[in-house]
Amino acid sequence: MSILTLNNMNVRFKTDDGLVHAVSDLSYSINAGETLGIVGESGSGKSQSVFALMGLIADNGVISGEAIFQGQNLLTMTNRQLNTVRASKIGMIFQDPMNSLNPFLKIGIQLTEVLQKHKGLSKKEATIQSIAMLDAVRIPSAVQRMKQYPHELSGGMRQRVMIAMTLLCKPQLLIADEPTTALDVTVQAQILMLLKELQQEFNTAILLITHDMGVVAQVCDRVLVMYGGRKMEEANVLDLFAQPAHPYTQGLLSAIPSITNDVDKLLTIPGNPPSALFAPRGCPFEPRCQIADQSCAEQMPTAAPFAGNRTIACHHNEFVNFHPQEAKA
Amino acid sequence: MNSAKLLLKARDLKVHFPVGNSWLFGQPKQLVKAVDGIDLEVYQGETLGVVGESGCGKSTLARALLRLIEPTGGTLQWCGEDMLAFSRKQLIAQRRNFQMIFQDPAACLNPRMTVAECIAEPLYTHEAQLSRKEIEAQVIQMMNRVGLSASHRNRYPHEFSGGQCQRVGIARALILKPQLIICDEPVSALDVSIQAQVINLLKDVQREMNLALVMIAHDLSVVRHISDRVMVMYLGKQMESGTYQAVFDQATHPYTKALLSAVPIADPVASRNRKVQLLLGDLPSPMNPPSGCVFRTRCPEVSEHCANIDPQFSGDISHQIFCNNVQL
Amino acid sequence: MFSAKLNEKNLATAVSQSLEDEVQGRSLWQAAWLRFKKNRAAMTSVYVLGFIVLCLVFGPMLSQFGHDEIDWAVLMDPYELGRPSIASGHYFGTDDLGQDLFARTMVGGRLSILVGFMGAVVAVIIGCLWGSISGFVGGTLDNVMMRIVEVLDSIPFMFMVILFVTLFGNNIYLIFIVIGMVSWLGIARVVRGVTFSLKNREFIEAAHSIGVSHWKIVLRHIIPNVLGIVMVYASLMVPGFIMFESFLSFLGLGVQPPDTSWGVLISSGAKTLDVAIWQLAFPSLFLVTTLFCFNFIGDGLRDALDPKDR
Repeated sequence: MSILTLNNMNVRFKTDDGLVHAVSDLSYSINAGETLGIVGESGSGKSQSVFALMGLIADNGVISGEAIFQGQNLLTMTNRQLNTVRASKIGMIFQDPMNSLNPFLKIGIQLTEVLQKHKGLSKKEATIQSIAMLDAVRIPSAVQRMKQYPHELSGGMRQRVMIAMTLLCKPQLLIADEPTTALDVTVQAQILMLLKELQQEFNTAILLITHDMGVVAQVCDRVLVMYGGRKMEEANVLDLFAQPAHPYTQGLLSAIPSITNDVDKLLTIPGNPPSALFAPRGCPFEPRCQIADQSCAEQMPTAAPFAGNRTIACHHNEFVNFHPQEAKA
Repeated sequence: MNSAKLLLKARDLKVHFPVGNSWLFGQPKQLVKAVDGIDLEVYQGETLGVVGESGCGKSTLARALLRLIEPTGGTLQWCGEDMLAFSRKQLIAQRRNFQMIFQDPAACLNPRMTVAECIAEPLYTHEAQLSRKEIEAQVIQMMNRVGLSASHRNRYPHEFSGGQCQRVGIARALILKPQLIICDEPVSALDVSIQAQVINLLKDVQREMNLALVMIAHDLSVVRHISDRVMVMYLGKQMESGTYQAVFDQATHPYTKALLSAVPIADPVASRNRKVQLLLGDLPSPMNPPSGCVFRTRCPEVSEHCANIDPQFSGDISHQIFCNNVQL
Repeated sequence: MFSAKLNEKNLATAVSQSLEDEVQGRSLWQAAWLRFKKNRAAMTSVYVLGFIVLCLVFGPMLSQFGHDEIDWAVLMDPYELGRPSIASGHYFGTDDLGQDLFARTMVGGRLSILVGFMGAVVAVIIGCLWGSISGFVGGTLDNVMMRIVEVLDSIPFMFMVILFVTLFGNNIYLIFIVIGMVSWLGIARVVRGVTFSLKNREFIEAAHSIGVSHWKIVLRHIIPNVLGIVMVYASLMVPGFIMFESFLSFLGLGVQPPDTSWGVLISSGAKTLDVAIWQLAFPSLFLVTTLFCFNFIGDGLRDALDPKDR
C-alpha cells in the first residue's frame, strides 16, 4: 500500500537571472515500511523535491503537481494543516543535526516538548517516553544525556538525537536528507544500521536522499535516480546495481572507485552538470550522454515502464552496457 | 620504489596546539596533539595516501609537511636538507617545488581575481622576470592541459562549477612544475562523476611530470584507487601503513579492519552479506587522548595492557602496524 | 617532457583559439553594480547627488553675486528686499548682511561635501591598511595597534577641537585634521574583524602555500575582499562627517566668515527663523537631501555587495 504518491511535481524558483527549473515532472510512490532512495548529484533537485513536499522551500519557489499522503494533497495544504502532518506523520532529518536542534535548550526539553505539544502527554510521561526513545536509538546513559546541550554531543550522537526526536510521534514516513554525509564512515555505519533496525521496529517508510551509491546499496529497497531535476531511472535496488539501464546510471556506477578491485582508469561522465537555469528542450543528460542522437536533443523522453518493474526515461531503452569496466592490466 | 629519489622525509613529526588563554584570567594552557609522532617518506613519482576519520589530524599533517603550520617536534627533510632550518626566504623560494591542492575548490580561489590571475599567481611570485605575454602563454597552455577552455580565462571563479574550480586549483599547483603536490581532500566536495574526472586528471599529470602526490582523504576507495602506499591515522598517530595491497587486502590492525568494513560499497548483494565491524562510541578528545594505545577505547580486540604500554611496532617498509595484540 | 610537448604543438593553436572566442567574465564588482542599478532609491540618489555636485561646481558661475559680496541695496531691509526672487538675482534670497544665499549655499556646499569625502577617503586608506595589517599579522602587533585605536577613540574630540582652536587659532584645516584623526578608527576595527575571518579562508592559505609574500597577500587578497564592506561603511560615514562639520561650525569652531558651509548657513538661518525662513530653508534642504542620498546609496551598496547574495 503506498503511503505517499507524487504525481508530476514541478518546482520552479523565480530568480533575478531567470526561472530555475529545480524539479520537473517528478512522479513516484513509496509504500509503508519501504526504503526508497533518491540519488543524484548536487543540483539534481533531489533535496528540493522533498523540501517542496514539506513546505520548506524558499519564498520564490512555485510548486505544481500533487503529492498525495494518506488521501490528502500535501501541496495544497495550508501551513497549519501541514504543521500537524509534519509534526506527527512525517518526520524529517537533515544533514547537519546542529541546524535543527536548538543550541540553547537541553536535549531533554526539546524531546519532551514534542510529546507534550503533539500528543498532549504530561511532563512525566513525556520524559519517560523520551528516555525510552533515546535508549531505542542506542544512546548510552540516556538519563544523563537528557540534561545535556546539543553542542556537548558528538556529530553521531546529535544525529541519533535528531532521529529519536522525529520518531517520538511514530511517523509513518521518515524523510532523511543526506543523514550521514557529515559523519565519518564508522559512525555512518552505526547510523545506517540504526535506521534499518528502527524501520523494522516501527514499520516506518524511509525516503532516503543521498549522493552516495554505497549508502543506497546498503539500505534501500528501491532507488530513484535523478538528473537535472528529472527522474532518469527507477528500479529495485538489486536490479539497478546488477544491470543499470539508463546511460546516466551506468556512468554514475562506473565512476565510483572500488574498495576491493584495482581499476587503472576510472570511467567518467564527460562534461559538467547542467545549469537549472536553461531548461533544455530534450533530455537533460543529452550533452554528456555517449549514445545521444538528434531525438535526445529535441524531445524529452517520458519515464516509461521498462523490463518488468523498472522505469526509465530514455529514448534508447534497451539494455546496452555503454560503460564496460576496464580491468587493471 | 627505493631507486626513486627521496623527496620528503618526516621523522617523529609532532604538531601540538596550545588551547586556552593562559594570560591573566584564562584557563591554564592545554595541548591538543593534532599530529603526534608521524614517520613518513615520499618518493618521486609515487602517491602516498593518508586516510583517517575527521579529527585524526590528517589535514594538520598536510600543512605541517609544507610548514604552513610549524611542526612543534620531530624532523622534516626536503631532498636531504633540513626543512625546519630553512629561513623564511629560503622557504618561500623552495615553495615552488611543493604545492598544495585544497578541499573546497571554490573557497581556494580569490573571488576577486579572474581564473587566469589565479593560475598565474605562482608565476608572478616565483618567476617575476617573465613578460606578460609569456605568462599568458603558460596559463593558456596549462588551462588546456587540465581540461579548461582557455577562452574562459577572464572569467571569475564564481562562474565555474566545483569541478572546474578544482581544475583551476590543479592548474595553479602545476604551473611551476613542482616535484610534490599535497592534496587535502581534493575530491570530497565534488560529485561522483566529476570526482572521477579529477582523479583521472591527477593520475595523468602525475605520470607526465613524474610528480609525487600525498593524497589526504577520508574516502577509502579513492585512496585505494590512486595510492601506491597508504598510511592509516587515528587521533594523530599512525595505525597501519604499507603498500595499498597490504593495507587494503591484508588489513591487520583492528582499526583498519573496522574502517574497511564500514565503508559502504556500491553493490547491494555484497554489502548485505558482509559483516560490518561496528566501532562503539566516538572519537576521544585529542586534548586528553587515552593512555597507551589511543585506539583502545573503541578497539574490539583491546586487552588490559593496552592502557599501559604504547603500541608495538611490527612489520617492514612494505607493511607495518602499531598494535599490542596483533603482530605482523 | 611535459613542457616540451605542450610548447611545440599546443601553444600556437591555443593562443590563436583563445583570441577568437574570448569570454569575458563578470566580476563580483560588475555583478554588484548590476544589482545596484536595479535599486531605484539608490540610483535616484546617485543622480540627485550628481546634480547637487554639478550645482556646487557650476552654480556660483550662474549667480550674479559672489558669495562674499554684500548687496548694499538689500542691506537696509534684508527681511523684505532679501526675499528669494528671480528678478533681484537673489534666487535663494539673501542673509542678514545682504550676501547672496544662492552663491553662499553653493560655496558652502563645496566645503561640506569636501569634508565628507575627505573624511571617507582618509578613513578608507588608513583604516584599510591599519586594520588589515593588524588583523593579518595578529599577535602582539595586533594588540598594540588595536590599543592605539582605542586610545585615540577614547579622546573626547570636542575637547581636542577646542584645544587646537586655542593653540593654533581658528582655522578650517583644523576640522580636516581632527576628522582625519578619528574617522578611520571605526573602519580599522571593521577591517580587522573581516581580515581575521578572511585569514583562515582557503585562498589565503593557498597564497601562503604558493609562497606569496605577506605584504602581497594583504594587498592582493585581503584588501580587495574587504573593500566591499569598507565602501558600504564609508558611504554611510560621509553624512556623519558632514554633520560633524556643520556641528562644529554651528558652535562657531569651524569655518570663519566670509567663508561658509552648510552648517554655518543653517546656524545663522536658525536665528531668523520667524522673519526669514528662506535663510534656513535652502541650506537645510540641500544638507538634508545630500544626507538622504548618501544613506540611500550606502543602503544600496550594502544590498548590492551583500555576500549572501552571491
